[in-house]
Amino acid sequence: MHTAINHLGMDSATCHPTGNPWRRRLHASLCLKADPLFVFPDRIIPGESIWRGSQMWSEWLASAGLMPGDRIIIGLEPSPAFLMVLVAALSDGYTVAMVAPEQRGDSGQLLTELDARIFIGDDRFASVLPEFDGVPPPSNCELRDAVGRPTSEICMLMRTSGSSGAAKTVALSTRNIMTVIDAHMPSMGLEGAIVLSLLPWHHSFGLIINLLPAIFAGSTVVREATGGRDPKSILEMASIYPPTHMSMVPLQAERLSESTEGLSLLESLAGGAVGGAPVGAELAATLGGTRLRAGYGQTEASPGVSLGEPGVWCAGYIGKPLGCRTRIGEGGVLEVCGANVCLGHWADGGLVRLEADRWLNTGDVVRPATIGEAGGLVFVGRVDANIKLANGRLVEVGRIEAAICQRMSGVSEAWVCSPDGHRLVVGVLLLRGASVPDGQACAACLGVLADRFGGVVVLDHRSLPRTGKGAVDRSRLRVALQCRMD
Amino acid sequence: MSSANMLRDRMMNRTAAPSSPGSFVPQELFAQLGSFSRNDADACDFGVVKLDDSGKVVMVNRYQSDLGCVAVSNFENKHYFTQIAPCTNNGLFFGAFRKGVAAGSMNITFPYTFTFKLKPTSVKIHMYRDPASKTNWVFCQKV
Repeated sequence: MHTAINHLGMDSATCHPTGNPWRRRLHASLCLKADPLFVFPDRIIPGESIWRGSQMWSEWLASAGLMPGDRIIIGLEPSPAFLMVLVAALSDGYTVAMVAPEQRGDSGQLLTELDARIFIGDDRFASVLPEFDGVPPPSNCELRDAVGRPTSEICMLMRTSGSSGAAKTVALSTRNIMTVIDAHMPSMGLEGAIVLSLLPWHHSFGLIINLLPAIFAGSTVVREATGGRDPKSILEMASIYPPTHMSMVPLQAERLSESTEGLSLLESLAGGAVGGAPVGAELAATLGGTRLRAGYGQTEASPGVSLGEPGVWCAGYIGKPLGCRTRIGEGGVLEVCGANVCLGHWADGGLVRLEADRWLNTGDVVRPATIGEAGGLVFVGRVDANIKLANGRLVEVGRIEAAICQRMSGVSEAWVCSPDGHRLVVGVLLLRGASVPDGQACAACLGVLADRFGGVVVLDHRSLPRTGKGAVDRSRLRVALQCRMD
Repeated sequence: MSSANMLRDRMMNRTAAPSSPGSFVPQELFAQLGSFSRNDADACDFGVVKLDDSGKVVMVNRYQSDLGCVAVSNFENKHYFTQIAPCTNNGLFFGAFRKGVAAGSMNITFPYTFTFKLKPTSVKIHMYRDPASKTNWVFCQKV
């Protein structure tokens, strides 16, 4: 029997969970397991093989000279190698820094910025490339000497998307992440689920809310080849492996809902979360016919703050606080306190540790929701007035508005709004006698977002909506501009 | 059988059939399965496992035995999906087998990853039920 079991390497004598909670949980979820099962476009791999591969990486990293708390950069595409390295790094107590594929070309700079010892990627910029099966190469590589101390207290360093302010690197502890996973998993119903994975694994939403719970629940994880960018590809994969669960950003849900097949897919799902950006009224109405939930968080909150009930939606709805305390602070800004709030952030090559029991200012203005008995919160806007488009992209309106005023003669003031999460509409106040600005010139001021230009509206100074302090009320202005554009 | 499993099977059938270029099993082998001997199997340069309808191993060839470092005597008469290759005991692999046996028809190929000698190893799998002899086969080739 023993030798028979060895056929698949399932020799229980080599499975030794330790005191590290990651190792204990990952071992229990993967070692000797046929589920979770990971389906990639070119290969299918069960949990047991991921575990065995992770053990090879553990040995490889240790023999290379890495110590717990050393920082490892993972710049791999979603793949068996990504999973093996992640499991090894978490199990062995390294600090894992996740980077986006588009950042990989800056590996030298990233190693310095993060004071990391090794960059594991799948292109020539990496310190080490996994082999085809995802396992480490036969030979070791030279490690970078770290300047600072090991950071065992940091489990992950994650770059924020910049969708809620300037991008930064957030330091998350094991407690931060486990708190969110444990708070969210009971609501997710992932046991026996087929999860169609669209979100990037290097982002907190895709990794902590989507991937890790699926691993712990023993789900089948089907990775969509385009990372959710192509609705046709999503539908194709869904026709092959009909998913029970999908989590996505609003833009992905919106694109899917534009076709009958996509809408049917959304309606067929048993679960999943839509988050990462506000949901508009039209999409909210669509999602009301599904079992999808509103999900809200920020990487600084690991990233789980609130979750809605299945099918409960209205424009901007972000669900009810989950696993943390929340309050609405000055100016309607949502504040969060709890074990999900990040350890600190990474700056100038080191950890800037923040007070543990602090209230995290999200910068998101919210109001209590009034959806029947559902309760929860509704996103109103960003306190800093920047705009988050439906695809999660942050539009820094201040710079655009300044450019419009500077480049377009006759414009005294300008405001950029997005009435629908897609188009950018420009409202302007004109100098006396000035003519209506040229649309093309105005669009050019949007720079790379010029294709989002939805029109220019000349405003009357006297009818500008203003706050009690006299500032232009952007929320009401957006509504006014929407009415004018309609 | 759930619609999910049916569609999985549809995918797997579509990726390769015995005559398709995607299959590593020579076309002529399928006509011989009713009388396929151990010697015939040992002559193959890929893994051959014959299963009864419950999934118990009736015969395994030398290639497969060597690949997994499991003696033929330890392989045969054991349940393939739970005792020999427990990492196949999921809806996709064992589920497809059960469905194929129940339907009396099975002809599916897909990529999979086993762990041979403690190392994850990519393989191609072709599961086939011979309608004439009512025998079940798992063919396996290292990628």
